[in-house]
This record gives sequence, structure tokens and C-alpha cells, in this order.
Amino acid sequence: MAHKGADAAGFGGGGGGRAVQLKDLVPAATNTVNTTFIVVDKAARAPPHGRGGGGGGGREETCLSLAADETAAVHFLLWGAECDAFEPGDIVRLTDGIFSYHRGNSLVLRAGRRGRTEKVGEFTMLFVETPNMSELRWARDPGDPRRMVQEAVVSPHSQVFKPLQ
Amino acid sequence: MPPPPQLLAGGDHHPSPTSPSSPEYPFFSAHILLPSPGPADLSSPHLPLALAFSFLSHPSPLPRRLLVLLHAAGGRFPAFYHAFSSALLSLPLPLLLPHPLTRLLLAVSELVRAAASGFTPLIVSLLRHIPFPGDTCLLEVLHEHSSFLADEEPQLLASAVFAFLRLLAKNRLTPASRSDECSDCDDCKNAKNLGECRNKLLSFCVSMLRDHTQVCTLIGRDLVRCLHELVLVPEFQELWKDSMLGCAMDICRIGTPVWCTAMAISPEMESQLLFMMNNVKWGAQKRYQLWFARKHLMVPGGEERIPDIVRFICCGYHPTNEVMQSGVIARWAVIGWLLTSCNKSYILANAKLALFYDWLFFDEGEGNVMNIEPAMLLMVNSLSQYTDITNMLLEFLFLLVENYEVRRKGMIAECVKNAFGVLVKKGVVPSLEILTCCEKLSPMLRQKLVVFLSSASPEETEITCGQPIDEVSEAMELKNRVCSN
Repeated sequence: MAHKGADAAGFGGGGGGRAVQLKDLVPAATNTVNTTFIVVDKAARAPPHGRGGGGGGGREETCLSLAADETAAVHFLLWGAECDAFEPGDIVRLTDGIFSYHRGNSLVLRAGRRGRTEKVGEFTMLFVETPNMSELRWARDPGDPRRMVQEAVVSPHSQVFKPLQ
Repeated sequence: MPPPPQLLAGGDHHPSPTSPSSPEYPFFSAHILLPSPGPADLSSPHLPLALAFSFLSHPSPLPRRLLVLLHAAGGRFPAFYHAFSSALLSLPLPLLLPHPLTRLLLAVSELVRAAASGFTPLIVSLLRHIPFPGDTCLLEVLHEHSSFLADEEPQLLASAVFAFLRLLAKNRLTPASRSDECSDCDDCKNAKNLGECRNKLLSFCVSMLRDHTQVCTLIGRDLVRCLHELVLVPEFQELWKDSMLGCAMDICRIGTPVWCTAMAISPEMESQLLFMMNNVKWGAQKRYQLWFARKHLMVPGGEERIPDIVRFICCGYHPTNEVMQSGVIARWAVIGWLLTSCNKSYILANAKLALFYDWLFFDEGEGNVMNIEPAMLLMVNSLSQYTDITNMLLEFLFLLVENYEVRRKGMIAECVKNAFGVLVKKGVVPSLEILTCCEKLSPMLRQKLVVFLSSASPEETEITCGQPIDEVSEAMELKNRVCSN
């Protein structure tokens, strides 16, 4: 039964973080986010970017999605094969993900090079669209400059994926 | 050591068989312990899963020793077959790869042949997933053992008849596959598969209805609803003439059991619908509805399932008072959304029939008010903002009373009146004035309803139902006076 142990360590381990709820996400440059969310909506694909532009050199297409759990929502950036693997309504488990500024100013959650995403279910999960952790303005904690703290709400919900109704 | 063969479709973004969150994990673990199960392992607790794994994954041809082992273990330990079936049942069918699926069907035929205990849930699960490639094998097994099943597992046989009748109805109405454009996608393969096994399907359904009529009546009134949809198929026309015509109305008096309405929808649809109606609060349902529609309705043959979904919601799921008061989306609202999702007019008509079906045969003593509640609440709650829905439904109800079974018009009118009465008596609506005195409702329908409700005898009801509007206006005036007082 070595496998059971291995997986348990894999989920709790990796970056060493335990599972968090989306409302507890704080921008950081570390691959330590373990969480489970439902993919609420998906935007159109963005072509590969960066040097080479045409998709060579390991550059992959991306796709912005709205992810949420019962506590909050966040923009999740699907990367490469993830763009096809996940559809709205899929429940995804993220291991060793990263919540950080991507390409300058957009704050997104993603698996990153070291993280892993797995479809673990479908449909049967409750979620909220407010607050959206990607629509908050963050600032350095004056008491502990290594930490970020919430400074202001830019928008109560995603400005990319508007709530229905 | 090479990696073990996979049972389920997966990929980088599905849990691997070595991860405890994968449904394959228990099989994989048992396989590690008993990589080549044999007679020495008969009493091993890992044998059901290990044997199931070998059975599903061993390359063709299947070694005879595995079959021998299956029946040896089943013969020695009464609980073995049950454990073996349960193991197979734990695999999500939609993800099963083609080879394991073929083997699963072989296992089912072995279990039925051996009259093993515990195969029923496995077959029910397979039936709820038809059409799938190879479903003809299942049909053949059930046909071959139908006499045994009629005696020992009548509910299972009735379920199979219902599931295959629904498939026939959908098959008849779905256009044939466009093989020029594509021949490889699953939908086209399924459609081709359906065309090929159509005769087998017909012969199974017709012979079960003839030879095991009593068993088939376990389905209740939905059997008749189903056969009506197939009335243009020549084989069924004969069946109607020979045997069904006389007993159709008796069968209509039998309420459809819960297990039967669930047969016509997949377990995945069921769990998603139940999640919506148990957990999703009012106002938050839009996304779920979109996901459900994309997955189950906007696929070939998907829209055709709407009437069966409506039946499931009316008869297959009755929420508790606690759930009803918890602010979750109500059954009538889900049905309202489903009706607006019908693009084809015959599907909309069948969906409305499904919604009112229990009204037409409602018996105060036997009938369950929860079966007729969604239609009433949908009519009443649509009055203020979506009056056209109320008008459409009420008009359809009168159309049914007048035309569904012209020779029993009086009886049906009486049942519908009973239904209205019980809905008030049980407090679903405070009074029918909510409809009869509603200014927004079409005056013609309002008049008709007033006269319909106030007619005393079945004969009178029958007459007023067919009457032109001006003749009933006197009664309407009377009713208006009562309302305004």
C-alpha cells in the first residue's frame, strides 16, 4: 500500500502547504497553493506569446478561466493542454500552484511549472463569485514586508467574467 | 515492471490509477497483491477486485482459467459474486475504455447465466447509460434470460423494457447519422450501432410486452406514454390492436414507480439535477443550468431527453419540507427552464405531456400530490411575469382533456378536476381563484377553467370542455361576481 502514503504526501507535501480556501489566497512568489475549485467560466484562448511568438520554443497557448469555491473566486490561468482538459463545471484539484502577478499586472492563480491540476469531479460544488481575489488591490504589509495584505477592492466580482443575471 | 493496463480514459489531468482519488485505485492495489489470481487465492479478500481487474484488462482472448476462477469463487462463497459485481459497478461507465467495457458486458452475461446474486444494480447502471457502443450485447443477454428474469427479477426486466422503449422512441425521432461528414465520432458510431440493433430492440420490446405483460405493467402509466410515442412503428401498431388497447387505461391507473422514472436518465444527470434541487440557492442556478445544458441537452439526442427529465422531476424526486423551505431552486422552476430549452415543437409537446401526465389519471386516494405539484406551481408562479407560460400550459391541459383519449374524456376530465381539488386541499395553492380571477390570464382560458371546475358530473365536464366560449360566459359572469365579493 505504498501508493496511498505517496499520494497523501503528494497532496499535503510538495511546497509543504496544506489545502487552502480561495478566500485565503495571498499573492506570493512561491508554488505552495493546494486547493480545490470549480471552473465557472472560460474565456477565449490566447495565442502563445513571448519571444518567437509563433508557438516555438515551448511557448504554449493560455486560457483565462474563472475558478471559485464556497468562499471566493479567482482568475485561474489554464496553460497548454489544460486549456482542453478543463471545461466549465469541472471540479479541479490544484497542487503546488502559484498565486502571483502574471505578465505585469494581472493577478492569477495557475499551476506554474511545478504545479499539477487534476479533474476530480463535475458540477456538484457550491461557489460564490464575490469576492474575487484577482480583483483586489494588494500592498506590502508594513509590519512584514515579505507579506502582502489586501488594500482595496477593485471590483466585487470578475470584470472579465460578469455574473449572470 | 511495466505500468498496469488502464481501465479508464484519462490523461495528464485525471488522477492516475496509483492515486487513491482514482476509481481505479482499489483495482490497481488488489492487482499488485494478486497479479495473477488463481485457485489458491479463493479465500483472499482481494480476489473480487483482483479478478475484476484481470477480467477487464487481460488482452483477448480471455483465458478460460479466469472464468473458471470466477465461478469457483462464486460457488464456494455466496457473497463473492456480489462483491465482484459491486467492484465492477464502482467504475464510472462513461470513462471506461472500449476493451474493459466489452469485458464488463461479458462479465454481466456470465453473472446472469450463473444466476449470481447481486448483478441487478450493475445491469441497472448499464441500462441507464444506453446508448453506448456494444449495448446490443446487454440486450441479447436480457432477451436470452428473460424468462428467468421475469420470475426472479421482474423489476429489472421491466426496467430494461422501459429503458429500451425510451431508446427506440429517441432513435425513431433522431435523424440518421450523417456518415458522409464523419464516421469516427462516438455519436455517429452510436447512431450506426442503434440502426443496426434496431430490429433486435424491436423484437425484444415487442416479445417482452407480449410474453411478460404483467411484468411490463410494473412500469405503470409511463408504459402507455412511451408506447404512444411509438404508435407509428408497425410492430407496435399490431401490439396495440392485439393486446394493449384493452388494458391501456388500466395501466394508466397505475402510478409510475420512482425507480422507473430514474431509468430514463443517466446517473450523472440524476446527481446533477438532485444537486441543483437540494443545494443550489435561488438566483445562483444560471451557471449550473448552462453546464447541465451543455453537457446533456446540447448533444445529439439530448433535447429528446427533456420529457424524461420532466418525468423524473415530477415522480422521481419529492423534496422534504425542510429542503423546500431552505431557499434552494424549486422543482417547478427547473421544469420551467427545461421547457424553455425545447427548440423542437414535438419535444415541447412531449415535455408538457410529461408534466401533466399524472393529472390525467389522478386518483385522490392513490395519487401523490407531489407528482402534480410542479405543473400547478409553474402555472401559478409564472402568472405575474411569464403569463404566456401559464397560458400555454393551461391551454395544453385543456387540449389533453379533450383529445388525449377521446373515449375516456369524461374520466380524464374528472381526474384533472380531482387534481385541482387536491392541490387546494393540500395547501399547494390557497385557492384556485389565483387562476380564475387573474386578470393577466387569457380571458378565454379563464372562462373555460371556471366552467370546467364548476361542472358537477363527468358528463357535464365533458360537454363544457368541448363547448364554444360564448356558451360558457354566463357561468363565468357568475364566477366573476363570486370572486369580486
